[in-house]
Amino acid sequence: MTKKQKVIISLVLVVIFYFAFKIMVITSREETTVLPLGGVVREIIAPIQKGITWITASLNDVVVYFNDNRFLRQQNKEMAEKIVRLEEEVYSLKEQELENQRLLLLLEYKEEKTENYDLAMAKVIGRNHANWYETLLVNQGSKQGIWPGMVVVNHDGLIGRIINVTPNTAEVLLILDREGAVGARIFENRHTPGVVVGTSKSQYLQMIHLPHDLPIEPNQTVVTSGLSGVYPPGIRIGKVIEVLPEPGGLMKRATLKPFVDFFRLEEVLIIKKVKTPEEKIVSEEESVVENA
Amino acid sequence: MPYYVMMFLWGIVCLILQSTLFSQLMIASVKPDLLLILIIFNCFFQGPYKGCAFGFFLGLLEDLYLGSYIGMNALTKALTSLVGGWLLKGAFREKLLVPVLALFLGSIFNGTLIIFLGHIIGLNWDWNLFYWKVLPMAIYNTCLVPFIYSSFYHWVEQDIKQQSL
Repeated sequence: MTKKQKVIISLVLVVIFYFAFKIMVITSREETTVLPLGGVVREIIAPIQKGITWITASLNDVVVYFNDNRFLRQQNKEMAEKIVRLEEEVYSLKEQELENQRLLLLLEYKEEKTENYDLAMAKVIGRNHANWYETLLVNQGSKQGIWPGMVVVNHDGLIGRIINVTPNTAEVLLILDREGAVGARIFENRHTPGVVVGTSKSQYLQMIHLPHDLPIEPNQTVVTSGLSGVYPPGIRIGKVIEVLPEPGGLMKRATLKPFVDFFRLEEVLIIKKVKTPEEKIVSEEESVVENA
Repeated sequence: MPYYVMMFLWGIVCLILQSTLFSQLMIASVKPDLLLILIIFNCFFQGPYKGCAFGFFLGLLEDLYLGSYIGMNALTKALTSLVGGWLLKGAFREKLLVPVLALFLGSIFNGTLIIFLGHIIGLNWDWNLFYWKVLPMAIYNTCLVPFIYSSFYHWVEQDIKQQSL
């Protein structure tokens, strides 16, 4: 390219640029009108544009659909996890509430009996070690000062007694067990001694060896008599629900419904020491005299 | 098909794609300037003067299509091609880094010119536009180069071979 050609080209460029700039300034005014040539360009391109816009919009819809789907699935998964977490929380709160209620009752009982007994609380950690005995395992043992022979109660009434201990556990023989006989009497008339033992129907107790002329009726309350020397007197055992003659005809027996719900025991109180018994022990002779 | 006819058709395709497909593919609220990519690629192979003319022509087409400020894109794209063509004379175009850098700097140059021209004709444009529009667009343009350049390069090489036969 010669120098002359270069100069000409540069001049042409300058002129073109000048005009381009001029046109730009003119067409920048607010009341712009589409120039005829521009209109033609637009008109030609418009249908193609329309088609492509439609295609891209449809594609976009598909992409959005899948994106939404993924988002919703993710959200669904998170929600499900959240529900499980919340349900667990609700369950644990309910559990705590129930425990609170139970502990409150036990605490009330403990405060009420603070004059009578030295009580220790224990949690039930197991049940029925062997099939033959009705027993419970609790989480207090010799380390906490628990020894065989101690009586176990809760706010409802008598549960049983400790039969063996390890350093941190103790086994409780329930009064439901046939081996766990308890000396008992009727609370309302004070002087009807008998023995409460378990039955084969495990949720009931029976009071046996009652003389046939003793005044005993349904709905009367049975408490410990203290005569056996194992259980302190005056602890509630159960309610009489029916009185039947014994097979020989000379004695009567009563079926009792225990106050304690043995199937839902979770916390118990162990009587470590009897300070003053709830009631005075009434001897058999006295009771016979008074009845007469 | 003659090179410039092909390039013109590509220009139309770019114009259409820019107003349709890439409106859906906006990143950081900018879309790439496909015409600028085409014009800068062109001045790689055709030198400053032909590049400038082609840039002017496609820029004018874009302006006509847009309908206002006719000549703004023509001017800026022509100038960008002219400067780009001069700077890229004898550049090693087989290396991908060259078009990548050229596109990045070219986009920034082109965007700055547009803001500058806008200022001259009294548009209420802020220089912050440089950060919000020019820079993101330059990055977007640059990111597209690796996808386009090798096909473009092979196509031009083939075209040159055919013409020399």
